[in-house]
Amino acid sequence: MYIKCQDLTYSYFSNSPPIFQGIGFNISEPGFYALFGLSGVGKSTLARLLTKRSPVSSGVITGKIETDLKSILYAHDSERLPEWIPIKKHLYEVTPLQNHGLLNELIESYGLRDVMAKRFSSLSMGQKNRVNLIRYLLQNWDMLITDEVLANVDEPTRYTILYSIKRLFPNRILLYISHNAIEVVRFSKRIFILPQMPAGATHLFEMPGLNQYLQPPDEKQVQLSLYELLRTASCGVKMEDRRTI
Amino acid sequence: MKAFFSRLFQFSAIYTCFLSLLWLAKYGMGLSDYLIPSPVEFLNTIQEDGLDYVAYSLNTLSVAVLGHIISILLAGSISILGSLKSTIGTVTRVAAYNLQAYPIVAVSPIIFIFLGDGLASRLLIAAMICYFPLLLSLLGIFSQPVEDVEHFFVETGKIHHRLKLTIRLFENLKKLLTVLTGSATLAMVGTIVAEFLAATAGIGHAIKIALYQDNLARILLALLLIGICSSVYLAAIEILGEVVSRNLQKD
Amino acid sequence: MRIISLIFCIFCIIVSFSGCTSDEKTARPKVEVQPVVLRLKWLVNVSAAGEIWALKHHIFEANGLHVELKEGGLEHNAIKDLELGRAQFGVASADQVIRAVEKGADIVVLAQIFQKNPLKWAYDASKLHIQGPQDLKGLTVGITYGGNDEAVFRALMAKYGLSKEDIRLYAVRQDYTPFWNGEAQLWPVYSNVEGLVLAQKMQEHGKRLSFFDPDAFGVHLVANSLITSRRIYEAQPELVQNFTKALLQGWSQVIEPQNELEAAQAVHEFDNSLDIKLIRQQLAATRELVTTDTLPIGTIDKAAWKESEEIMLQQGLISKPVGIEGVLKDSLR
Repeated sequence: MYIKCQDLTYSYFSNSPPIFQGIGFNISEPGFYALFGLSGVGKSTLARLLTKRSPVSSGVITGKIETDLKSILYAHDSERLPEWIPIKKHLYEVTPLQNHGLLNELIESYGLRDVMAKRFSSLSMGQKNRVNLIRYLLQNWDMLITDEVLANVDEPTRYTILYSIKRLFPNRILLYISHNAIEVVRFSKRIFILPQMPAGATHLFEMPGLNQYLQPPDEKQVQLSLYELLRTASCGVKMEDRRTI
Repeated sequence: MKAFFSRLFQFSAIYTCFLSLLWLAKYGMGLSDYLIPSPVEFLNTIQEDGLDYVAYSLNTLSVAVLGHIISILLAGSISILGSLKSTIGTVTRVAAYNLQAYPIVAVSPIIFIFLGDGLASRLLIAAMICYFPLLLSLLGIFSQPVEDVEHFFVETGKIHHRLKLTIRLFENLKKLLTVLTGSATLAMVGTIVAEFLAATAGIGHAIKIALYQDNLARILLALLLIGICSSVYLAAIEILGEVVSRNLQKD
Repeated sequence: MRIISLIFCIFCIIVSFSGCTSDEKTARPKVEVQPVVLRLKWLVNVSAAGEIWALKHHIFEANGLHVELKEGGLEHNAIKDLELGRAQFGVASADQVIRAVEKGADIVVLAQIFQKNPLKWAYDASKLHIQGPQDLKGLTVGITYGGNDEAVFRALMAKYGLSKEDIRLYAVRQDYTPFWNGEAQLWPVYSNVEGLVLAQKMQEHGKRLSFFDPDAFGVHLVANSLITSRRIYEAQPELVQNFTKALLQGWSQVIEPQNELEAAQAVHEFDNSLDIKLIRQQLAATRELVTTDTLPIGTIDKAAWKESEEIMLQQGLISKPVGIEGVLKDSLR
């Protein structure tokens, strides 16, 4: 189980400056990973490239993506469910039969039992995020990229969700894109950082996360990691031994 | 019901203003009853010809409604075809955009030659005149992805053509209703024009006769009834749209 | 100050010289002409031959008039134009005049251009033999609902005791398809205009066109007549006289057989959809409508006008008599 990128370069148009260039990373085991960066650096673009939904630049392409993963899904926070059927009906329709039991469990643990009969538009933002995430989690995926999918969920519920993902899907790869640096630091096994650079990011930094699961990590460690994460993301510090290959 | 009364009220207000201006001009400029009929003559005309003209208007309205339904079905079918990414879809789209430049009213005399002056020609002209705006709107709706809703199905490989169309149709329901209401007006106009040109029934035919007879009072009566019928029909479409929308979104 | 005076002088010189040309024609003193608009009953075709001739041969100008011809139609009505001041003279038929007078329009009939009504019903004489109204029984007759042909035909039916069971009336439309395919055996035409075009087409297909003329069976509805508003008639009698004189002079000359070719060429300039030969035939037919054996061109046939009023009263097209004699004026007699 692996996914590897080398020298990935992307521009929106052939004559526009690249969003990022020479990006590379390697994930070779299941786990909870995070992709972090300030707004507008190209996190979502990189994520979409991994699912091969967006075309790669028509300029010089030096990068390549290699993987043995059969199914890579990308979920984002703006998604909506079809409005003409109640949520419950939609979830049962899109969930494979063998996962219906898990569906019921997630509905309960994510606090969505009371909204199942409603239509998507009548939910709160947090409820919408959770419903959308559930339907992705219950698909047959090898890697799931979630792009701010829990942005509107309150912290305790978010932690519940992230714990449940770690518990239920230990053998899969989750790439978690979020602006919540504390969460990223706490829960990730490894953090990929796309830095903000004037002419687009030229490499992807990497640092270990605290991989929180049942026990919360030491707060001092959290603070230190947080500091390193934010400094790296804003690209104010040269990291000597933390560059990716 | 609110939509119904609102439309009727709007039309009545406009029509009353129009009549007031007309009579203001008549008495201000000292124009004879031949040029602009007096209020008394107008009321007499309503009394004498009112029932006949109501029958003509209802005749026209029924043809317009039927023509409108036909054009919706036709536009729906062609736009579904036009939404395909295949050659058929491309050709259909190109043909639709280019043919819309043809003024149907100009072609209508040919329609009358082949179909005569009965119901068929009126129906065809009414259907064709509102067909193209409907088609173009539907083509636009069906070819524009709704990324927020379609994304999940695309990611998970569950997307298919019928689902895509359903999503796009549902997401643009309000826009569709607006187009339906607008095209309903066109259907009425088209039917009246067809009747004026060559038919032997309907309010358009009555207007033609009134024009030959220089009877403006009858023309004013015809305009009143056309306005009422149009308002009723448009309100009916709005109410129907509201009911459908509400039922689809009912928890 | 000096410079301003100099500029002013130069300006005056330029202005004064701009009025001078070496063109001989413009050196002659200008004749004052009064601009006048004449709204016709229908298109500018052979039925307006007299007007066209008067225009082409400067007869209007010789009478101090600059005339603009405007074609008439369903939307352009001479009587409405007179009332709104958009035209000073117009051409209208008796049914239009009578309807307008009933509704209070103040107009005056100056001259009756057509002594006979060109409105007739065309039929295929190789298939039908119509000698009188009774021969119409069992046939389908085209009429323009609301038009003067409806009034004429219903008057004929009433006069000869023909009921709607005897004759099927068919609503006419702009094309002749129902007539061609035999759906309607009789079709209303203006015998001096489209009647001859139809005759030619029928001849090409081995058929023979003939006309059923209600006028021949005592149904007289007066056709094209010259009208003006009473306001102009009373305020500008000289204008009225000059115009009427010029127009009737135009008609007198245009129907002369020796002028036929030139007249056809003049009409062709306005209506080039037909060839000269056909226009000459139309002119010959028009001659029959405009002239009588004894009376001068433009004579108002009061009896025919009275009958026209009677027809409209019988048909319910007017609710009461309008006293049509009161609007008939023979300004040159």
